[in-house]
Amino acid sequence: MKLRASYGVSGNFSIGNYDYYASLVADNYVVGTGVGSVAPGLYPSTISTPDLGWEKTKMTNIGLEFGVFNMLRLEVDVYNSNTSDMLLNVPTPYLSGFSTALQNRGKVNNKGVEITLSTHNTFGDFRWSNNFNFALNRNKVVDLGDVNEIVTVNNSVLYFVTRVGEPIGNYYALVTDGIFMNQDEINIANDPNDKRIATVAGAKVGDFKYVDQNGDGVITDDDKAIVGNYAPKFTYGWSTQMGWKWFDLSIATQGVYGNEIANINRRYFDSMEGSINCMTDALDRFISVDNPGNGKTVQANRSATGKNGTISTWHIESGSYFRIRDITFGVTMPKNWMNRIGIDKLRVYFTAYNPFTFTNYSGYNPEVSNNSNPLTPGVDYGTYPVAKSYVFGLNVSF
Amino acid sequence: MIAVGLFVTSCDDFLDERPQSVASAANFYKSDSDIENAVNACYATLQMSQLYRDFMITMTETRSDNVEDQNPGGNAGRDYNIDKFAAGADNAAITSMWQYSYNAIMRCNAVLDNIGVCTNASLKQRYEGEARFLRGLMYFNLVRFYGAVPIVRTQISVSQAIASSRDDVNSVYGFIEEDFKAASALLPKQYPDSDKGRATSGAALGMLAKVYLTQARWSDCVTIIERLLSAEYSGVYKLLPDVADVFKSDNKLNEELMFVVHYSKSIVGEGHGFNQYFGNASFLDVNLRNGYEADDARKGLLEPVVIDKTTTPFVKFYDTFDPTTKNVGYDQAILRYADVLLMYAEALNEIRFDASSSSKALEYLNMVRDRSGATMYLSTDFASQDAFRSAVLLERRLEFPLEMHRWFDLIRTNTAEEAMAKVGMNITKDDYLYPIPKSEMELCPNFYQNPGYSDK
Repeated sequence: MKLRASYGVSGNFSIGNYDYYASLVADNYVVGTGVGSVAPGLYPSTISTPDLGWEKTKMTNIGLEFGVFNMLRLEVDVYNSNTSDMLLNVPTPYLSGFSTALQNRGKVNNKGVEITLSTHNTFGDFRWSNNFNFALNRNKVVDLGDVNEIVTVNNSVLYFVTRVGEPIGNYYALVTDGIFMNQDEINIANDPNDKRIATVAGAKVGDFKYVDQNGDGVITDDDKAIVGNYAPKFTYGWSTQMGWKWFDLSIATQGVYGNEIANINRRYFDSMEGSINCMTDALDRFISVDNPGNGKTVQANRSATGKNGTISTWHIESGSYFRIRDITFGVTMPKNWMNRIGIDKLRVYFTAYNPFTFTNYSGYNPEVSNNSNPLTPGVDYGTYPVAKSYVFGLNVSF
Repeated sequence: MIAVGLFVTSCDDFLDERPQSVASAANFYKSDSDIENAVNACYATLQMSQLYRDFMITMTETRSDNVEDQNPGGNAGRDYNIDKFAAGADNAAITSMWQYSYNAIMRCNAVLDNIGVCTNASLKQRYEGEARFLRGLMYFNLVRFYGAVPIVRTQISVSQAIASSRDDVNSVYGFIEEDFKAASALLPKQYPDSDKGRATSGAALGMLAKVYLTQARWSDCVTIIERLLSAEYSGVYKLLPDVADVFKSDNKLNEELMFVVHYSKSIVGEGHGFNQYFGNASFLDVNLRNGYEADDARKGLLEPVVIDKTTTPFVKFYDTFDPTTKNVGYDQAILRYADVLLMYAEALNEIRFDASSSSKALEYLNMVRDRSGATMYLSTDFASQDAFRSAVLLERRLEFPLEMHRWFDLIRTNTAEEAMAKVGMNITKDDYLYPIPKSEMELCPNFYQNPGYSDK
């Protein structure tokens, strides 16, 4: 048994070369009569930030190692880290001539636990080892300089908010509240004195209702709420190797639990506009007052009415998954047989990569492109599917 | 110990290495040609879809009674909502117009902040004049769209931007006036053919006249226009005898065009496609199309020409696709001589209504009508100053459709409610201004929203 403790300060230098200088990009004009000629132009594309510095992370870590011979080993690490002067591409007023500026801004706290349990056992001819891991991280913004929140936009449609007291990079969207099931509901919504259902401008029967966050009786941009985050509640994994006589089997798995993904592909696949093929959600859509589907899916319409096209919880999905990353089964031919034909070792194996993924996520791959801006994580907008592959192999050594 | 101390203090400059391999603002502006590149980038903003190419047309023509957007679902209702006075502070066109106007202003300020590196005195004058002309133009659009806007005079930092507040409308106009005045003094009257298309002193005077006209400073407006009409500018500008020649794509930068957004379809990146409204007669208000007399040459400019099944631009913007770039390249007039003549007629009438047949205002109004073969007005047609005023406004509508003047003319003359009512839109004075973009409201704590728009 061993107890470890550490404290350190490190810098994140993912700051680009010469980011603090304003760099210039080309934008040309044309002058002169006739065809004219190019008037080459150059303008500053980033705002000059001469005081840009490193992010600093102070981390405290306490670890415990516990082992029983070689059979069982448990490691538990608990950490608490505080990052200050975070390097964030922060929205800046347009009147500066720019839309964002890289800045050292704010503090964020990360704390978490990492647990690893590994076992090695042999029972006669049977060898078996296992490795379990579990990690949990909680992330909280402590300070953002002179503001309380930073709202960022991704792909012009998806909003994120990073707010003091909350994790970094939350999805910020309208919350759907079923659909308008009949004309009475529309009438209530459109009656300014009746606030039971909030007005959704242009909405018809079969369109989304939304939660009126500010209670003003009208659904506007101000009714956006934090509706999820790409950071998982915890991640876990299990891998195992087994061997018996000539045979070996190994399996590796990984899992993520409790995160959300902004699947903005659904603006197309699930818009009920029919511009392209829809997902099977369309089977549950509102068709008529007498046939309202599951009450959560809007009517089909060539051009969406109400706010159906606005990013809402309709586009946010659970990103939890459990994936079997690979399975390998191998047979090693007995050495004494092989030596007779002049072969030192011969192993035949079969591996399946990514054969199974268990998830409710409707997109191709819940491990979505995590773009480089930490304020806008977890956007699925044309993420590549993960490839399944099957490999037969033969290892021969002479 | 002393040696160590020396090292520590001498380190600072030594370590402050400037990048030599990338063009950065810190090492860039060194010579006349660097400043010329910076000036060219200011002009380049004019061609942006977010400015003159598209959104300017949406915010002046579609907003007005000239053009109707018939596609509620197009671009998530961006243009439709502007047409129907339903656009809020998060509208993409309204936001982009603000964003890229200030981007252009930043580019102009980058020129002006670094103008000192110029060694050639006459080039330095010209570059400063060009940057101030374009900055004035941007602020003139901003103040007419949004009212009181922050005046950004130099390149500013993020914290300065956040701390800024809206300057009152008069200060903004004062700043615009200074810029155009300075530009008119600094810029040349004309350029050699290879540099044609750049801002000239005459263009700056014409814009200054329009600034005065917008502020109802009639006699200042008249004074400036009389300079343009005087011997000082003789031979520089004229009304082309045939109005159709003004817009022909093989007759660009002609003597009637005082300032344009210039394009070239044969040069990659310098051409464009047809604007969505420039090819469908059904978008145009019937009162506009019926406003012309049968043989008014301007009527024909709004007839469609068939290029192919999906492309039928108006004669005014007719151009063929370049076989290589697949672009067209018609220019967009920002100021032309006919505008100056009509401004003159308007300002003279505002100073004093002249019912006589020798009225100068009448003479200039007729000059523009006569060119297109429309019946000339007689002094007896006008019983009052107001009747003449309405005739000028109508003439401007007939002369400049789709040239991005109509909405500004309506709000300048306080006639937008009346004109919009005729196309079924009931608007109020609050609708004269667009809202300050929502994102800007959120980032600038000292800002207040324009009346009639959600404060958030």
